[in-house]
Amino acid sequence: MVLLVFVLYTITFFIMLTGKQRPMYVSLAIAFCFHAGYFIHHLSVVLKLNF
Amino acid sequence: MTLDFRMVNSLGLLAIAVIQVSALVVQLGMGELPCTLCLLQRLAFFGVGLGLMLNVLYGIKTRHYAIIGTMAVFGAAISMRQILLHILPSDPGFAIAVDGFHFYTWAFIFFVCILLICLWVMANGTQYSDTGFIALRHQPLFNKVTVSTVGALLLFDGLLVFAQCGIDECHTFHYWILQFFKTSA
Repeated sequence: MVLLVFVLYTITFFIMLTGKQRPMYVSLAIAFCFHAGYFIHHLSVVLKLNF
Repeated sequence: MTLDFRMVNSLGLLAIAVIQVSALVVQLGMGELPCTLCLLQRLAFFGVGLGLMLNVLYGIKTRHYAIIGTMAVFGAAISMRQILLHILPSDPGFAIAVDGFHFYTWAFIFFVCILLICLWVMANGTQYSDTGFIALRHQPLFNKVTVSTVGALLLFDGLLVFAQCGIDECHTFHYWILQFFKTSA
């Protein structure tokens, strides 16, 4: 999962270099959702919510 | 004198590069494998870096500072979570300490500093102009170096995560790739 977030941020970086603004923001948003999602998953396991 | 705020953001990228290189020195030089929360904090620093890159490449905009601020708050939350994991007096903490603080404590301090600096810099109204996207090859040398360095570190860190965790859950016992070659030999 962490590897996936790294891949998504790296894709965002390369899109950023092309100057395509909309795909870059979409890619950044997806990467951040996975990033935050993994942290929330970690917290949910600790709090025994398990989602 | 007018400040070049793209250059100011580029200086921020340099600071992110220094933080990432120091984490890599501890990982590769001292053999300390990063835990999952440590990797999430590194990613949050890269997230701050991407926000700074947006300002450097696409021009200074409030929404780019909002991205930096969001990443800093998120990173501070992750590092605070790790601080709370090791808050009991008898707990030795995770990995080495630098100047009495563990890396996650330093990360929390840095994220709070990034947030405060971001708020302070974005309050300067003269920097916002619609100059638009300037490709990396047309940027000044300093910006080229900082953007490329942070990009290369992001790529390298991703490869290290693959070497450590493979496509499975991360752990701090050994590099997955070394174990993979050992068992298949």
